[in-house]
Amino acid sequence: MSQDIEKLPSFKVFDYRIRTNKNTERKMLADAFRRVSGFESVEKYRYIGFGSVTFTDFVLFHKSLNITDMISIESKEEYETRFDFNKPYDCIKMKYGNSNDVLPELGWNQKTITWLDYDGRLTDFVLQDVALLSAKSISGSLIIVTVNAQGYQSPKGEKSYPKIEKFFLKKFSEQLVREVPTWVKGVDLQGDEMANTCRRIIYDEIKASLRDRNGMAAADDVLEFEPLFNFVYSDNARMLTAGGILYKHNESSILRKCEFDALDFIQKDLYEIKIPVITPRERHFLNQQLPKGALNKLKDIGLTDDEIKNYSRSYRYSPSYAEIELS
Amino acid sequence: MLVSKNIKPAIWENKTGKVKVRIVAGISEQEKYGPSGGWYIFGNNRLILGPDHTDKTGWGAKKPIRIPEYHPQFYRFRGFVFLNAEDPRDLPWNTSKTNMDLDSPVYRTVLQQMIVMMRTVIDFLNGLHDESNSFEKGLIKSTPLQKSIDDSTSFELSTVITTKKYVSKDLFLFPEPAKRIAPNKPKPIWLRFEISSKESELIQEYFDNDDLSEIGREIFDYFAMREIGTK
Repeated sequence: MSQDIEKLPSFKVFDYRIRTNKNTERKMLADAFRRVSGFESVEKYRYIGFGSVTFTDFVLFHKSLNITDMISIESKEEYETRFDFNKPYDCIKMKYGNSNDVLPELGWNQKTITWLDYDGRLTDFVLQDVALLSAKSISGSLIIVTVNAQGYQSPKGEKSYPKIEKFFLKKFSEQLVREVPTWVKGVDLQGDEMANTCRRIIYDEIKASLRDRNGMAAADDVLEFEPLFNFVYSDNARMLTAGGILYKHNESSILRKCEFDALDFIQKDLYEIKIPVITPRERHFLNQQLPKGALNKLKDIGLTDDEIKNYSRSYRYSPSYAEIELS
Repeated sequence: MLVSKNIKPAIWENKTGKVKVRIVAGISEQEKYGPSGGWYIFGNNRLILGPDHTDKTGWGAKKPIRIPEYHPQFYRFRGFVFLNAEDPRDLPWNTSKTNMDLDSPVYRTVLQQMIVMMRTVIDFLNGLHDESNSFEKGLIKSTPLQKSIDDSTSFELSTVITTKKYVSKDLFLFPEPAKRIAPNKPKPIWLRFEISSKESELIQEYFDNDDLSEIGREIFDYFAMREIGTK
């Protein structure tokens, strides 16, 4: 059964507008995108994404950031009529084909925010997109990738760790469709470590591509990559969103002025987006103490410390109900 | 190289470092065995390598993007790289100056750029191939890619490089391929199985229907409803 569902385009299975953690992630990203203004005001940026039929990210970034140069890449060409019909704004251009084919055909002379929000796992296909974006995006551009990073489970009944590790590494190599980096061990593919592993492979790919690209650059012009987003969340599967910004070596002061790290979800370690399921009454009570209230000294209303912590760090972004954006 | 209103070779230049680089990628006439297709690399105006069809110039590359191996579909491909340096020792060639130094940082940058640039030309040539197949099968009504070649003029490389309107920055310019007449509907899959004449009689009687293809559908729906459910 689950395999049958995987064969359907995901937009036919899930309504991405109402997945709480995804919804929160999107708004966190928008909040961070505002801060690129040291490089250029965000409304002059181009946005490239996978809009699917709901174009949820496009609607948010157009409405809240006034980005008007937008490209949605769509591989499900057989639903072309439906995508065209659902395109919410005229400023969104549809590009049909898979991202491996479409991205190399685009011009890259403008600052671009590219968010490749895949449904599937990290593969060579994804890494090729990452490598191309790193080879072509100009300074001030953001590269963001979302992949399924659900950890592997040991085969049932197998207790020999060497055998389990061998099984994991083989499975991972089949998943990636390329050689597994030598530093990856079996434990790196289990539980939450899978997200760390995928993140490192993505960042390594960006760095390798930049190394080639910088071969003849003068010291000041050398392009560097600053990771910003290290989100993990589980709406259903465990997802990882990894990404950051490209800048020239002599622009590090501009990058500092953007103050991305003033946003507490921008951190070097993985950041868990986990919106607790709480009642409106609980929400109002917590809101009254926020943003700076002494949450640790709250009277006991039956919520766990984790629930309170997760709420307090995401309340500005979390939907206050299953939000349907009628755009 | 061929140039027309809607075909323009890609050009990329970098004049900031010790090595000045200019890369041009586009198409030329179709030759029978494709001896002139491929990449040509010049160091201080001397041909170092080419026409090259190997991984040294990105054919069969895996990074940053995949490029197919050279084959007849790409005979029209022409790519030129001009590397110039005041001090020839700065050029990314090997010590005998007969080949590229694949480990040189300069050449790694150049090669990354060549691979990205050749990709759009290859997309065009693949599109041209698909277009002629689709046209023969009646799936498209026009052949804009072939027409752009028919309408093109062949110019000397030196003319192309020095004429701004004949080149396109970074990306090979080509027209939109023709839209398919019928939208790509998902292909139906046929399911066949054999039954005995005795079995056929029984089910025809059960369904009160002689049409076996309709009965087949009913049998499938019955199974699907119970075992799979509605999606």
